[in-house]
Order: sequence, then C-alpha cells, then structure tokens
Amino acid sequence: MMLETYLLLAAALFSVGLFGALSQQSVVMVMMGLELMVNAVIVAAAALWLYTSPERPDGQVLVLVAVTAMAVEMAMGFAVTTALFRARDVDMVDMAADLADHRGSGGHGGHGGHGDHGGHGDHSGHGGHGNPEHHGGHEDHGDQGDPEDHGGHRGHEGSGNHGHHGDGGER
Amino acid sequence: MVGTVVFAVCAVGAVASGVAVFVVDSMARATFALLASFLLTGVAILLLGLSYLGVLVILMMVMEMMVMAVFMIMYMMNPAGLMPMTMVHNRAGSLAVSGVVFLLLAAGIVLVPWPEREGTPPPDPTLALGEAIMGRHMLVMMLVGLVLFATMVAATVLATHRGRYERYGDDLRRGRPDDPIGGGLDR
Repeated sequence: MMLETYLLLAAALFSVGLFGALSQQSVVMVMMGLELMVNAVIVAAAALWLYTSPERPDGQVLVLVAVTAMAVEMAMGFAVTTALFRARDVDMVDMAADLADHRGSGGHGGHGGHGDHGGHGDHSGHGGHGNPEHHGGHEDHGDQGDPEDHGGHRGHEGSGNHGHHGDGGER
Repeated sequence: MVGTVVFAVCAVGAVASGVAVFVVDSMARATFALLASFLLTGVAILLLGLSYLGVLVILMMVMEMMVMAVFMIMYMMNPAGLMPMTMVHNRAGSLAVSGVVFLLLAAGIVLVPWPEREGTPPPDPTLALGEAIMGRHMLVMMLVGLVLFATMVAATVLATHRGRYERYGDDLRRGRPDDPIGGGLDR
C-alpha cells in the first residue's frame, strides 16, 4: 500500500512540474518545472527500490542517475539561458521560437530594462587609444585595437536586439 | 505510525509547495517554495531508509536552489514580486494536460498489480549502492562522470562572453589578442 502512496506522490509532483513546464513563459521557470518532474522520478525510483526489490541495488543506481540528470539539466539550462540572453536579450521562451513553424509570438512591452548589458564596463578599459605614446613601452592597443572595431561590434549587437524586439511585437 | 504521519505531512507539503512555485508572484519566493518541495521529498526518501541518497538530495537541492535564486534575480523582471504579474501562456491547456496526465498515472498506479517485495532491504543500503557502482554497475558511474565533465566544459563554453574568435579574429590569425583591458601574462 505504501508503494502506491509513494507513486501517487511522484505522479502529483510530475503533474505539477508538467503544468509549470508547459505554462510558464520564463526560461528559468520552465526549468523549475523540469526539476520538479525529475524529482518525481527520484521519488518513484526510490519507492520502487524499497517495495519491489530491495535486495538488488538497481533502484538506488537509478536514483543516482536521476540526481545526475537533474544537476546536468540545471547547469546546461542556465548556460543556454545565459548564451541566449547575451546573444539576443531573450529570457522568455516565446521570444526564442525561431524553429517553430509560425512567426514567433513574443513581444513583451516592459522588457527594455535588460538592454545594453555590460557594454560600458568594456569600453572603459580603452582609455589608452587616444594617446599611444603613454603605453609605448609595453603592449598597447594602438597597433590593432581600433575603437571602430568595438563600436561596430556593439552596434551590430544592439541593432540585432532591436530588430528582434521589433518583429516579435505582434501577437 | 510516526513514519506514516511524517510521510503524509511531507507528501502534502511537497505537492503544495510545488504548486506554490507557479502561483506566487515573487521569483525569490518561487525559488524557496521549490526548495521546500525538494527538502520535503528528501525527507520522504530518508523515510525509505535511503540515508545516503536522501541526504545527497537534500544537500544538492539546497545548493542548487541558492544558485537558482541568484539566476532568478539576475534574469527576472520582477524578482521581488512587488507588482503582481503573471507570465504564462495557455494556462487552461496546460492545466488540462497535466490533470489528464495525473489521472492516467494515478489510474495506472492503482490498477497495475505491483509485484510483491522480494527479499529484505540490506542492513546498509549505502554499502550496497557503493559496491554496485564500483562493481557490477561501474559503467553507470563512468558514464555519469563523463557526462558531468562534458557538462562542465559545455556550460563554460556556452556562458563565455568572449571566446577565442572574439580575441584572435574569425580566422584566429590575429597576432595579439584583442582584449578590452590590456596586461596579463605573455603580452
């Protein structure tokens, strides 16, 4: 009887996680739903181990694998979120629907606050561009570090962001 | 008897805090609700006699949720929940799908004739697990190690802002790396 109770707990956790993964728009919240689902797998595997074949360690090994899957999911999910956010200023799943058939239907109005992350901090290090004599002794940026290069790079990122926001506006 | 009561409290609490993750406004609160859900399920695993795996789950979840809270506050527009907002799509459809899935799983759980328990739990399940992953199940342990290492490398590569192509040019032929701040070794 306890086995069924544990499995019901696992089913409830799985369903809650499924609801979250399906309904949430933020990438991080989707990952929370996925974690709940993996957690349900952990509970179910542990209960199955104890109540069906406790002599064999297979159930415990399965729990170990599920724990690892959870850690990997978390690390890769945040890495992908960071890469996506850096490249396109996107943190909602609806704005990253490039592979879908239909046009992406993202576009949230109050999203401007995320723009231009870290740009100024990078530029502050270029103080030596104007007068290379001061840095003549050691390695300076004067020979190859032209500011236009950086300006163009930033500008390209910025225009890409705006373009994406622009075409994601309709819904 | 005490175990049943503790399990009931943990099970109800775990599901309730799991639901709370997707109900509360604040992202920090959602993170800690998820942490509570994980801790309660960790206690439920401890009740099964899996002392090592239960403690492992609890410790890992505490650290993981701390990291997640940092990312939440970094990425969310509304980390403190000061203005109520919902960011969901297709709420009714998701509710329907997850409800149907739960009913299907519950029906299977109730209707399937589960096998009888064979044998008794070992006196030390942790010892059994250790002997398994260092003996007959060593392939699992090797694969897990490889996967974790690959994850570390891949996550670092994905999260790096300036890689070698930014520093040395698209053909990697730039003589000196183009860094925003000069200095450092070998330069």
